[in-house]
Amino acid sequence: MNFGLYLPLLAGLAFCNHCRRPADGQADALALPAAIAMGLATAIMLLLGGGLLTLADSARPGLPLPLVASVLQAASALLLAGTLQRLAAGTAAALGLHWPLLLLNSLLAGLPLYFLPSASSAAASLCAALLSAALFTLLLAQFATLPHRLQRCALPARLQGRPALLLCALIIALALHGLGARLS
Amino acid sequence: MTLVLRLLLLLLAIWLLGKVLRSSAQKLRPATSTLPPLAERIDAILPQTQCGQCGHAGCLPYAQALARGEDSINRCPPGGEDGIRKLAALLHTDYLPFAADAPPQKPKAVALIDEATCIGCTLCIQACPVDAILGSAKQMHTVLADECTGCELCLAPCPVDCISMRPATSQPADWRWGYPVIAIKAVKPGSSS
Repeated sequence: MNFGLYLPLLAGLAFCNHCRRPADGQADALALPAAIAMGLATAIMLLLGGGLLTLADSARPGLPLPLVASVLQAASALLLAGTLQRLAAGTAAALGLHWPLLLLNSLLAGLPLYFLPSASSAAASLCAALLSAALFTLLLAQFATLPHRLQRCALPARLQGRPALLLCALIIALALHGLGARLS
Repeated sequence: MTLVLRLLLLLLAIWLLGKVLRSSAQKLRPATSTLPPLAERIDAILPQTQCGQCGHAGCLPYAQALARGEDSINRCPPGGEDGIRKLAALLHTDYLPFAADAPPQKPKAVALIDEATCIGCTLCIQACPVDAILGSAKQMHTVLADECTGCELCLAPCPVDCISMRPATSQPADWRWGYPVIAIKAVKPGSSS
């Protein structure tokens, strides 16, 4: 795994998150807070998963990394989902912080981080987790504000709505692939 | 050292998420707080006849009792079955038919004072909950038909029984064509006239 693959994966994940948002009356008003909340939730899951992996590695070295990382990332996602359900179920549901989405984000955004060549040391791994969470939040915010900006464009009728967003996601993914390839 | 830094960042992210959730909850709250209180919404459904047939002093006290869950939705004959259905939908309860002890439903009527018999005692004026009767002591009284809700509360106090209820005449706003009634005769096969 390298950044050339990982960064477009984040763009695809952000697009999936945007498509899964509920289209109710308050969706527009809560689009940006929902993007920020999901970005922060992803940051929490990445930091928690990484921390638990460090502890597990120091307690019992030699455990298979893919298995342990998968279990810990899933556990951190479910732990966060359970806590949100217990403390702020209504608000979390309105912001789209459902457990399947949290689990998906935790696994898809978290697991590749452990296999990036540049994230070999603990500090580099922490830095990569923070940067990926920040980028993911930016991408979510981008997709949250894109529909309004696209409405102002004189797009052909065939492209309006979801197809235009998909095209934007592809362009962003290609740009991030180029950036990631330079970083790798 | 990295673990401590990771823990600090984790706490910071949790704090920020809490702030975002709290501000979003405040954004969500106005949608429910803009609605009027439940008793007012129930009162808007009730027919405002103030007749007291529900056992309360008027429509608003009945609405307040319903909002507190102290009475059932099937105690308002003037509201009819349509009113019960609207109350059931508002209060998220099942539809209930009229209670066995509830007064029977009647078509809308208005009070009419026999002016030749009226002695001007003003008792009906005091009984009318919607001030639909005009008059003064020892003067003839009359009913404002547009204001009368047909609650019949003026009937009992009248000492000379000069008030009667007449079916409300339809207004241009609520007038409807009557459906034509066509008599159908059964014709036996084979029988010819």
